[in-house]
Amino acid sequence: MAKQKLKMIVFYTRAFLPLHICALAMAMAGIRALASPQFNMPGTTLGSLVAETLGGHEWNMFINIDAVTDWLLALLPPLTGLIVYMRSVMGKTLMFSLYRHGSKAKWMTSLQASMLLYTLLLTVLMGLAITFTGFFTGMRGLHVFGLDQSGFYNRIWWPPLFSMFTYAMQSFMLLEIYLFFYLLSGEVSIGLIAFVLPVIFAMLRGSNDELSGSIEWFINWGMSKRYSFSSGEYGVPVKYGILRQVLVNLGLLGLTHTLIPYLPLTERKEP
Amino acid sequence: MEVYGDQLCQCPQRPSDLKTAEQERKNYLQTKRIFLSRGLYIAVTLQLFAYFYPHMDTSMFFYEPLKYFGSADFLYFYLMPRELGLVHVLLPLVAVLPSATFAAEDAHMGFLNYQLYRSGEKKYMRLQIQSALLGSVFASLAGSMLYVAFIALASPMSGDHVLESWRQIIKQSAYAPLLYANGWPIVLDSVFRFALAAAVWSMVGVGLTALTQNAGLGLVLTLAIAYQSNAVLQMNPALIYWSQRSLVAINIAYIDSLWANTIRQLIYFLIGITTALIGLKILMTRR
Amino acid sequence: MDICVENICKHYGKQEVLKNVNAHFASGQIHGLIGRNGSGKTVLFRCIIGYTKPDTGEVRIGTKRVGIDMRYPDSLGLILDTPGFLPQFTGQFNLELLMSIRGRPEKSHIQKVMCRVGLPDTGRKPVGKYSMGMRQRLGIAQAIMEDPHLLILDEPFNGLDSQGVADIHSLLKLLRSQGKTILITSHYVQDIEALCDTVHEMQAGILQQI
Repeated sequence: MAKQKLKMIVFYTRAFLPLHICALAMAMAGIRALASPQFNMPGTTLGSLVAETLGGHEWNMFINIDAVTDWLLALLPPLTGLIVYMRSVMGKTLMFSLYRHGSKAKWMTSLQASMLLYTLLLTVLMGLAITFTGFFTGMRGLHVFGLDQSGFYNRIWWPPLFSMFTYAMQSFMLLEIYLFFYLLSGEVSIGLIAFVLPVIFAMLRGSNDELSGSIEWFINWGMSKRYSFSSGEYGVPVKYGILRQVLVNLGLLGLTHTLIPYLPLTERKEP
Repeated sequence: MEVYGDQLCQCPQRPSDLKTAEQERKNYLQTKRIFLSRGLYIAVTLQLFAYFYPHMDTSMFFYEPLKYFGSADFLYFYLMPRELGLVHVLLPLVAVLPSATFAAEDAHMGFLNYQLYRSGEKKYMRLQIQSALLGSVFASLAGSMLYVAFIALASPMSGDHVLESWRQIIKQSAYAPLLYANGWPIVLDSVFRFALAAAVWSMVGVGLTALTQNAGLGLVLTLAIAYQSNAVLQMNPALIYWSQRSLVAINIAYIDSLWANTIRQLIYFLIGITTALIGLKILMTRR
Repeated sequence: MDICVENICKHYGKQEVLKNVNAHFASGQIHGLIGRNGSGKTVLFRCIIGYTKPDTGEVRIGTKRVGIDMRYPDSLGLILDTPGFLPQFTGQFNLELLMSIRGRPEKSHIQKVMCRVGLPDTGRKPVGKYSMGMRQRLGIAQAIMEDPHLLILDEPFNGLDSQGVADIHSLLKLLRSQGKTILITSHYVQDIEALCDTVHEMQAGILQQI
């Protein structure tokens, strides 16, 4: 039974990841890497390029609107796959698949599990695209240079993976918000606004390192460059940020599950 | 059930019999579709929100809004949100939401089949472009002018609250010739430029939504292109004046020529129309 | 308005969907097209309308060649695939929108046409709330509302109740008496037998008159 469920989730995840969506996401990541300020700077490694491209923005007393649009741009690729997938799922295929799941909640569980797997896989693909972009322009090394546990300046390997993880978690959270508003309203535009506005709002309100409460803003948990290992004492503590991000994601999962029986999934007649 | 006789009444004459003025008048239904679309009102609301958002940092805005808007002059309250730039972030959305997605919607719903043999491809493409332009320009103008009307009523035009420091900067910028009549020419000029930029992005939106046949995906791609092109162009000093941010921002230290600015935007408009035509053509080929 | 289909061939990849199709559909008659699912009926209709360009051959309507002398037939009413409308608007508005493309939409005329096809009281109901049968009727309404000379109806009776089928039968007979050329497909033999002056069968891309 569990094996069957897993097969189904993997099958759904494949549906999220057609070739053109993967290509689009990788292209967008590659272009962002090329446009990154670290690109072609002496000493930049592949690992630091990944951490730079997916790691968000440093703390800034006066966050400018270009930084906001840059992070929004970074978060858009996972949304493309979800939009394409949901259009086909919410069409006639929903009528065939929903009753087979047995309940809306079970349908939602498999959808969200696939969405999580999709976000993680897509982030890996984007990381690969950034890595290849750097590799073909002469960069080497998957490490970054930083202070290790002994306090020595050394090669460390986990920051690029950490930046991918935090990025994936933030993407998943925003996709959850998109999904909720899309299911509620039936409109892609409402879902998109629900995705975009929190990012803009949080960036403008929570990016200032002078605001004492700024580490509470969710936007900072998704940016590895704002964690303490990168920013120093003003940064978000690692366990603090990760725990909160995971809890928010679980909270959103719970909320959607609680409300899904009341959402008009099949009551709307689709053309 | 009421049965309508045995005879269908005479249908309206076919296009070759109609006079041009009548043919143009009948397009009012396409216009009606724009004003019945939810996207238009969402776009206007977004635009207004973006104008008011920078003021929300101040608690006086919530508790004593009229006092707040009375504390500085009209020109300042117009320039401030434009300088901070949230309106620029949301511009592609405001441009595409009203009516740039109609072609994708028609294709998805199967409505395109019924339109196409009546209108032919060229006319259909023309109608889509017209609708997108009208929707985007209206949304942009409505949002901007509602805000302008509010601050014109709520804020003083002259007197003690005029911020001279801003005016001194404007006097050294390309906007200097427009600094008269309490700044109205600057305001109207920038509202016009903003609407032109919305027109450009609506064309890009038409092309991308038609190409992908998915309104949501086309919207996201338009946002992506808007943000990425801005980032890339702003990195290069030779190209900075070609970025959309430079073209619509009222950077009060803007020193390039306003005419050059307009010509650049018109070039972008032509590129936008080309994108729209290509997208629509591909939509009709793949249908 | 006679329709002549001459030597039409169409491939999709390696699959030959239409194989040297020749047919003559005389004006003022109802012509039936039958065949199994996937036999190529809809593709043939699409070639006749001009929505699909055949690999070889041509379609002439009257004296004009489709795709060469005219992009689409001048006076055409069409149902193809499942009727698709804008779901957020009423049936009336959808029809007005379509009619406005090449004529002056008259609300009273559209209301009468909707009555004729059995949709008299839809009022402010958006098409998104219509049943399948209602959408089918609306599809028929949009096909006939401009009094076209040529009607191409791909399975027009899908989803209709028996009264609806009878109404549409009488409507098509009326239109035939007015000199319209009507091509229909249906999977129901009784529709074909009751209506059609000629019947063609499509089998694996080959068309034969029976």
